[in-house]
Amino acid sequence: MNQNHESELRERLVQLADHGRRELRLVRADRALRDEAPRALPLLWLIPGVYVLAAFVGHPDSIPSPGRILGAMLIAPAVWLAFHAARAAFQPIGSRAPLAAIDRHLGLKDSLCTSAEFLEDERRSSFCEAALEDGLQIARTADPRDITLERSGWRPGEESGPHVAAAVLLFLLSLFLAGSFTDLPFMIGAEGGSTEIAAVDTAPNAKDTEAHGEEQEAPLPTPEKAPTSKEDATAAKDKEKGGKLSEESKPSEGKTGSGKSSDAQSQTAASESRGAPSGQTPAPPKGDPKKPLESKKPKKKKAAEDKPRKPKNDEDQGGSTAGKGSAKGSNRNTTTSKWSSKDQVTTPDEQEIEDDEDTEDEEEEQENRGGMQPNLRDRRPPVSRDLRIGFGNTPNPDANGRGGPSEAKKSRGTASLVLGVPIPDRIKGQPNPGPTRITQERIEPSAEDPKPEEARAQNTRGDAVGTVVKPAPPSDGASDESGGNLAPWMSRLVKNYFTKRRSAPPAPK
Amino acid sequence: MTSATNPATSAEAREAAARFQSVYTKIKDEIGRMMVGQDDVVEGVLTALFAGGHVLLEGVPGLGKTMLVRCLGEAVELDFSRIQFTPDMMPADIQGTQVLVEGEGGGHELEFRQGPLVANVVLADEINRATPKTQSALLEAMQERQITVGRRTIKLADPYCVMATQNPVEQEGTYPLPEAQLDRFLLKLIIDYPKEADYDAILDRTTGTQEIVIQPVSNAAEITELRNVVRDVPVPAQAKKHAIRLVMGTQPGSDYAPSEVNEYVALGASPRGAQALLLVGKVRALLDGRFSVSTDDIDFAAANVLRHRVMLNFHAMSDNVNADKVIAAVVAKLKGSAN
Repeated sequence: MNQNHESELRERLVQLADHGRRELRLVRADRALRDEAPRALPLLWLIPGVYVLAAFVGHPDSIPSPGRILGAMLIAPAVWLAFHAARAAFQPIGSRAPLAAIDRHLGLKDSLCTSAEFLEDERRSSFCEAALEDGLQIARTADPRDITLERSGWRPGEESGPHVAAAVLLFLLSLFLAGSFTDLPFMIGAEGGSTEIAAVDTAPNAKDTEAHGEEQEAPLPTPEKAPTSKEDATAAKDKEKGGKLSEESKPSEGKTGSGKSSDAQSQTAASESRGAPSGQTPAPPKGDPKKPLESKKPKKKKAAEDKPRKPKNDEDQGGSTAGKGSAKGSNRNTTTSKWSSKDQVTTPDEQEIEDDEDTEDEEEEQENRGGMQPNLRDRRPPVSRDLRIGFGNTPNPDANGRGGPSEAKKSRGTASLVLGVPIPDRIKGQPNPGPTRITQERIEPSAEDPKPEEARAQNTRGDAVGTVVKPAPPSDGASDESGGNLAPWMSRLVKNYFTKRRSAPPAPK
Repeated sequence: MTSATNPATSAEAREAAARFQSVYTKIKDEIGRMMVGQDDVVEGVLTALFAGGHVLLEGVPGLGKTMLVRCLGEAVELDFSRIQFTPDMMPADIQGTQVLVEGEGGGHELEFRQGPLVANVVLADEINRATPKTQSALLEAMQERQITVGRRTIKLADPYCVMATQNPVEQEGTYPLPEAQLDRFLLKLIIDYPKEADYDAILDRTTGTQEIVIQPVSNAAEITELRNVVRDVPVPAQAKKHAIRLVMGTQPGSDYAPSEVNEYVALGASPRGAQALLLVGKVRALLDGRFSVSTDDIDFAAANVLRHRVMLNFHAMSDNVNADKVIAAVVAKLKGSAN
């Protein structure tokens, strides 16, 4: 790149940088406006708000004329925004930043910015030269007049709505408090009507009170509180409604009494209504919440007495579900079964007394635990494990296939859960029957000196080596050691014996 | 043919750049005869080859990772070796070891047998299936371009390029690459499924009788020469600053880190990341017909260069945030604060 091209490029870059700098200032000012707008908008209502506050505190004379308020309202945010915009716009901008902004705006891949950098480099490489040549071409085509950097274009939007509305309201309120409300042309004659508005305002309040009183629940009787007209009206309406209201107000009265949680109360109520299953039990009278608790025990005993004692059907009500093939445990007391063991059998009277005592104990315990608890059944006797034999030919009705005298046992274990895998209940035999004898010998280790044998050449073996013992026929009582040395007559005798024995027909068993 | 090394004038620089584009295009076209679609991945692999870096290819099975690297080795006429990494592989299996051989006179002597790591293009297939012990045998080769076995040091010939593949799905029985090794890869390329239009050509080329033979269109010397051309591309201060800020932006707690980085990143990119950004940016500038790196080149390279250098924390995994999202947030923040 020659000097002329260099100077031309430099000149064009300066022009572009100047234009880009102006554009960049506008962009930064615009961004400052956008960023500072949320802080400036509250100033709209802050100044009338201060005036209104001063008027409420007791200085209504401090409110200036409407024009001044309006001026202050608008000037304060405008000054704020102008200050920040100016500060952002007049920040020093170097020569590269505008060129980089133009590069980005025109999609020039940093050509102008890079050219500006490479121009200042004294020792440029060939690639830098090539980049400068390309930069010159680009700079020639880029017309500064066509370059307008993109701005955010901030305009008051939805976020400014509440601020403006608040500012208008406070402005009007400040005018009203300052007494200059009537001075406005559109509010002429409004002063006379203000009392009417106030009177009208009070009337609905009274109506509202009555209507509200109707909707209110009956208040709790508090003797300290003096009766008001509102309460009188409420009471009169209550009288008209009769007992309906008293029934409606029942739930509130329970809250004062026992200090139980609502769940506990509902549970208690359920237990109280035992023997009288309908929900028509009259509620205890007002203001005496302890009564239900006091009448709890006798009522229950009575309920237990009143309860018709049905003949027990053992099939249905027996405590044990054993023998029915059910794997579930029963919640019922197994001692009620006629097959229960003697020490677990109780008479109906004893049962009744125990039941009552148990119930009372449970309730007391639950009270101590802090409320109604689920039925834990922690006092119930365990499931019967009676293994007695004595049912004659009839099967044990308690038999469940698990333990005790019963028919075929159920197979158990994981394998039995797999379908189609038969598991025998008993072991028929052993794989290796018979006693096992274990002999143990103790032999002290002893040193043994092998005879040294010298190596020597050996010829091929022509004959058998060592003594060949003639195999002896089996003979009872004869040892192996002497079997091979029998006398001929004895050998013949033994042979004849076995030959004859084998040829004879087998004896019938 | 003008030597592309250290062009003295701008005309020579232009010629070198044009030659670079020509060779690049020829190799890409030759690979394209076999490889259908996946242009971004092919360009990434070639970029790494010319920038002098290594590539980690990640994709589900059957997308042509291995075939791509094999085609590259054939198209460039480079010494190509393939290592199938297995869990029982030992460092000696890839570096080389001394074996006992019988001499001519009947005696025995120890002889060094080079492993498959000694080549120009090494395909490390399923690299994450080998144990960290074996994976770490690659560290020296990838960074120092040499292998040390016992007292023997073998200088690896230029160009040297490790192209590793891994499968992101089957993680059972695999050993994730350690950070030190991940950092040595210039690019991590994600291979996605081919487009619908590409399936037709894939099926035609792979199920017929016609066998496609890749012809060599370049050689090792030319690649080495063009690598020097890439290194000659200047980087203006603005692009350099942008790369630095981009790398710092991935480090939690830095001034350039967006909220996503502070929330989701456990470990940011190292200075190697900035080096890689500039190298890839240089290749990109040459391919675009420019003679200097721009910030756009850096931004373009950011995802492939930084995604394996950013280690995410548990919050990122639970919120389903990946490294690409974090890097995009860093780039967006830097762009937003440009003016």
